[in-house]
Amino acid sequence: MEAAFAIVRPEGSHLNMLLEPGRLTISIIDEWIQDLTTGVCAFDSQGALLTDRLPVCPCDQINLRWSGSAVLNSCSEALKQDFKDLVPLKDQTGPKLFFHLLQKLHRPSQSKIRVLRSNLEGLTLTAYPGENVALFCHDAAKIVREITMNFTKKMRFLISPLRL
Amino acid sequence: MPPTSPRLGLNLPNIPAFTSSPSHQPMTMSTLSVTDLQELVGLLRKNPNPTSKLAPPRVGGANSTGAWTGFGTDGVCGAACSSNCMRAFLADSLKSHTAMANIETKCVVGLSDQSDLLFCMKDEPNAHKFVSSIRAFEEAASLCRNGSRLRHCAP
Repeated sequence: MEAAFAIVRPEGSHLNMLLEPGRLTISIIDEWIQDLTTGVCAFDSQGALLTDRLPVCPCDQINLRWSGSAVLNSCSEALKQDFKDLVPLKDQTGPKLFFHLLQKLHRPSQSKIRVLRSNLEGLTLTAYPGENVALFCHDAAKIVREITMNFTKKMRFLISPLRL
Repeated sequence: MPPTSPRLGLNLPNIPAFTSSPSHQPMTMSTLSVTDLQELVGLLRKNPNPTSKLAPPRVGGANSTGAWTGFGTDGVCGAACSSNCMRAFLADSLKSHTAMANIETKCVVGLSDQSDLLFCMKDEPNAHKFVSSIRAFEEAASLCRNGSRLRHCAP
């Protein structure tokens, strides 16, 4: 089902909804669902956009429906009921529901990035029993991941904005 | 030696041909050859063997069993992560439907069996686990880890 959440943009870039939810907008989601139902953009080997689109893939249609059910089943009863009332049945696809989920629960912000950055900078290896590097990296990776989720633009180099 | 039918993969018994006989005056039935019988059996078979090969999906691949979707075990659509990635089978419609029903059940379950990781409203107890829930959902959807490796597998 992951293909339903991996957006292919017309300029050839990819946007993984689950990794970088901060970059999502309603227009990107609507365009992506439209692409999945009418044909995704095609590119040549050099990465140039072709005039013809890829044929509509029946697996994408299945994934759209199933991912919608998977998102709903991953919500608490209250949230699930809220989505059922909010989103029309025909629009209950995975990407759409996931976007509504983000709208409700996740607000990317620079202040959150600053807090997370200070948390990251506050990590010290000596605080871990036996100076366990694996545990240290695990915690650091979790914070970095959360920082990435708050990016609202594509960041080419993660190191630079974090000043690591 | 009974005649064989490679198309149907079975040995056909020696069947006496129906011929018009002087003893059966009203009968006008002509000879039913082995080929005709094979065609008749082919038409009457409920589960014909599909011979066409499935086209690979936009993201995924096709194998001898059918078509699967997803970025696969290697992230570049090399091989399906699991049998739950199958989306079409080279089988008759009834068998395909049965197999797909089982796969659908497993795919749409989401995080429902991990109650502590469900996405919650902000006033619910697990609201602070949003990031963990996304990671768990990603696992459930068998998402490829490395976003930069995402690409179209099919042309």
